This record gives sequence, C-alpha cells and structure tokens, in this order.
Amino acid sequence: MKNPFQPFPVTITKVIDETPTIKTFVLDLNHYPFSFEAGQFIELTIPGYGEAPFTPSSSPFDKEKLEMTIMKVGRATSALFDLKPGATLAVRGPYGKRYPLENYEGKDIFIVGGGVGLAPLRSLFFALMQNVKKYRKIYIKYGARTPQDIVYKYQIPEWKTWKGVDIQLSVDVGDSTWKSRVGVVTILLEDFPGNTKDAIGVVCGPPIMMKFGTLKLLEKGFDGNNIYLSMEKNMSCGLGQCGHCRCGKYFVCKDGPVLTWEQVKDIEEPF
Amino acid sequence: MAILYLPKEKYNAWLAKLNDTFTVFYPDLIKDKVHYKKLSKKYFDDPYYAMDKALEKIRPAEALKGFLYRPKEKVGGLENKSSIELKTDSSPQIIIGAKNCDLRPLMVHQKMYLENEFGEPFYKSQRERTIIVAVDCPKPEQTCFCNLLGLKPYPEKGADIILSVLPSGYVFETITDAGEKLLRDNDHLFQEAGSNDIATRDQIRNSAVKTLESINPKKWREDLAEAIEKNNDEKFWNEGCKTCVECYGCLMVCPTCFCFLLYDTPTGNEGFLRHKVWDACYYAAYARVGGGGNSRPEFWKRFQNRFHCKFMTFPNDYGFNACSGCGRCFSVCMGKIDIRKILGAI
Repeated sequence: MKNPFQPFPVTITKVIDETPTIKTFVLDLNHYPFSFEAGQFIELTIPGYGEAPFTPSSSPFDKEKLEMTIMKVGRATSALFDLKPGATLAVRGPYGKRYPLENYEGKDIFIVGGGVGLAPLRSLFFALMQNVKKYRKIYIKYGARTPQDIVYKYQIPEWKTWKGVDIQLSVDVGDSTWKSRVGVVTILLEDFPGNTKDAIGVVCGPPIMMKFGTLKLLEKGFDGNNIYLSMEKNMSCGLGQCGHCRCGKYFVCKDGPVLTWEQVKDIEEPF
Repeated sequence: MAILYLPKEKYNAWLAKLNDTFTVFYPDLIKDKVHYKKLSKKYFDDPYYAMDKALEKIRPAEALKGFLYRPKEKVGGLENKSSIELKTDSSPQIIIGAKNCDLRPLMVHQKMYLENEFGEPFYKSQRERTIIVAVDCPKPEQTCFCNLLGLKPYPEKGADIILSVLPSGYVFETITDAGEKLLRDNDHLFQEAGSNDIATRDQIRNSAVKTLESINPKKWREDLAEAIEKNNDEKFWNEGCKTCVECYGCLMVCPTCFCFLLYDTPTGNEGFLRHKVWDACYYAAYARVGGGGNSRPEFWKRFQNRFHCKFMTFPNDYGFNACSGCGRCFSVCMGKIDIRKILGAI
C-alpha cells in the first residue's frame, strides 16, 4: 500500500551551529530514493514530537544528503535542537511546486532573504548556480538582526567570489566588527542596476519583511508576476488534503509554497 | 439496473441474510433520535423487534463519513528505525440508512482524497469495502434544507441501492452492480416492482419536495460564492457568530468537513505512531505556524473561513457546494446558529 502519511527514516550526521537560535542539520538519506527541486518542501518528523514543514537548504543536485536549516521556535524544533549526530528523524515529500527556473532565464534575479529565510533561498541559489550562464546576474540581498544572526557566515565570503553573483548584506543593529550596511533589508533594495520590469524577485523571510520587501520591489517597478513569495502557512499534511494551509483559494502546500504576488495580492493579509 | 419490491414482512428476513455475510449497520431510533446501529443476530430472535422504524425519519445523528473517514485512524510511524507497515480492512460492510444529504459529502471526499494526486489509502479502502443502501427522506424536518443546495430529499445516485418506504413494503432501485448482486442473491424474497409501487414512491417523493419547499421557501442569492468572497465585513461575521461558544460541535457532525490533524505519539527507542484525527478550522491553533503567526487569529475570521470553504472555494473549484443541507450543524449548536439565516443575509 502506498501510504502518503508514512515518512522514511533518516540519520543526522552533522549539526552546524549557524546562530544562537538557528542550526543546520545534515541528514543522511540512508540510500532512500529521494529528490526534490528548489522551492519544494518536506515534512520533517522529530520522532515522538510530531512533524513540521521545512524547505531544504541544500542543493537539489546533492542526492546523498539533505541539509535543513532550522530556527528554534516551538515544541518540535526545541526537541530537534536537543538531538545529536546519530539520531533518527523521518522525512516525507517533497511537496509543493518548484521555482519555475525556465522563466528566470536571461533575467536579473534578486534573491531577498531575511533571517532564517535564506535557508530555502540557498537551495534556489545552488540550483541557479548549476546553470549560472542562463541568467543575466544573480543578486542576493540578505538582512539579519545582528551580525551574529547571519546564517552561512562560513560560506558567504566564498559565494562573493563566484562569477555572475552579487551579494549585499545588512543588519538591523551592527557592532564594532560590522563593516557592511546597517538597517532593514529594504535598504538594499533602493538601487537596481538594470530594468526592473522583467527582473525576478524571490523573497523569503519573516512576515513583516515579506510585506515590506514586496512593497519595495513593486515600488521599484517589478511586475507582480515576477515576485515569488515563500508563504509561511501551516502545511500540516503537505498533500492538499488536511485544510490547514488554506490561504484564500489556495492550499499553500499544493499550489505553493511559493506563490507570486499576483496570486496573493487580493488576499487580505496574505502574510 | 433493477427496481424490485420487498413486502414489509420480509424485511427482517432480508437483513438476516445480509447479516450472514456482511457487517451491517442500520438506522435505529434511540431516544427519538436516529443512530446507526450494528446489526446483531440477537435482534432476529425477537419477532417484535422492528428494524425498520427509523427508515422514514431524517438522516441519522452521525454522518455517514464516520464509516469511511474514521474519527481517529492509525496512519504511520517508525519502529526500530524502520517504517511501520499498516494493513487496511477489506471485509465488506453494508450501511443502510444514508440519506441524500449524506451522499453529496461523498463527492467532497472524492475530490479531496480519492482524486488527490497522492491519494488517501485509508479512506479508499473503507470506501471500497462499503456498500451503501441509501433511503428516501419522506418526512423532512425543520432543520432540513437540502433543497437550498439543489438536492432532492431522495437519492438518485451516489449509493449502491436506493430504498423507498411504501405503506405496504419497500421499493429497491439498484444503482451499481454490487447493489444489484446484493438483491439478486436473495431473489426469492423480492419481486419486480409494479408500476403502482413506483407511482406511490414518486407521490411520496413529490410530497417530501413540497414539504421542504414550505420549510425553506426562499432561495439564497444566485451569486452566493462571489458575494461571500466580497464580504469582509467584520461586523456581519461577528454578528453571525456572537452566540458561538466555540464547542466546534457543528464541524464534528458535519458530513462534508474533511480537515484532519496528523499527530504523533512516542513509542520509545526513537519510534512513534502517527494518527490522523478529525480537525476543525474553528480551533485557534488551526492555522497557527511554528513561529507563532496566525492568519486567522480572530474567531470571526475562522467563522468566515467555514463559509469560504464550503460556499466559495468548493463551488469555484469543483462546481458544487461543500454543504448538503443536512442541518446537523445547527441541530447540535448550543448558540442556535442557523447557517441558513447567515447565507440568506449575505
């Protein structure tokens, strides 16, 4: 019997401390035939504590392991944070729709992330880098609260050296070591090098940042069809059956989790 | 398909035959309310035990969906770091007594579960092992409003057999092969229905239609889905739910509600069991996400969401409302919230 509620077991092989409240869990898939595309999410089970939806932060082209960058916010993630390498988790998925990368070809792509919202965007970034020549240029605009709250600190310097990529960071509150911009992430969205009409904006972060990030992109001339938003809803079953993630006429787990501004603009308080 | 007649005095004999092979549930009167009851051999020992006394009443208190979409079902888990294997029950069961307002919901579950790209094997197996004998509803009550949803108080499809009660016996109309077989296997009890029997049945049916029209004479507006979508008036929705005590009874008895919650319980050694249980969109935590955000924190929004789901999204997506007019929701409502009035006022 094909059982869509049954997850398969995976093993934690490494835990990376990203910030005081964010960790990246590297999972061994134990040779289970699993693959996903950038934008899709999984349901991750912390045995005995339940299941929650997360988008992988690793490259969709990495078939051996799965990386999940997760913030400690509730009961299940608190239990997860107590786990060490060797512990068993379980995975179902992938679910939802992928980013339509074919629509991004030949265009400037602005990846706008806030806090742990960079996690799914890293997966997208890696997918884009696989065929980087297809895109005009890839911009990452990333904001965090403080320098300590920046994820992937150990990778970003290397990304900055990659061809076709432009990375800018900001923090809400700087410290003596911080040499980049200070302010909310929208301060990085003031100047655009080219025509914004056909540029792609991909936004993921806390609801308030999603809202103001989107408004800023619209103000700068982005088309609502070209603004891709990661909707944070209660995607409980992931299958489009349980009803929890309903957002207007959409089941975010099935129709999303990434929806365009054009799709959600008429929904009252979509974020 | 066949239209057969069964004299009243042979009804118990037919049930006894069914009971030899199947698990059978039939509608019975318990404290003046109709409830499904499992047929037992002991009932046949009592010659005065009337197993047909609830057939002419309105729908049972429990929705048919409970037989197919269980209130709580084990759906997965891990044991010794391996996925657990679950088996589904394939032994056949017969449910007698579903009304037309319990058949429409099967279409809702068909869309949500069976036509879903991932499928729902537990619902599917229950549906496949179930033979439904639906029954006409000759005496609609004040809580009934299937006519406002475009339904008739008698089934025409969606079941295996349709049973109509006549003064002297029963007319059985078979809809599926499984239904046909169920009657033909006991051919000696049945006879072909005469034109008089069918005329009597139709007369009773027409009378029920008229009763419903007198209970609910005023139709809702034609553009209901569009009007609901446009109605974001906090006052309107707050007024509608002001007597609600948030018991969620309306959603638990609703035959169409399909929402569920997956929850896990630990079994030790990194193992767990996963259950799927009925859920209700009225719960404050229903839409809450891990970070604490909630798209429907106020109750009026959750109340509105119920109308969005049943009367806006469903007709827009699938062409029919996810409500069958059974009236269970306000029959159990402590706040006496009658959705007919709310829909009529939109």
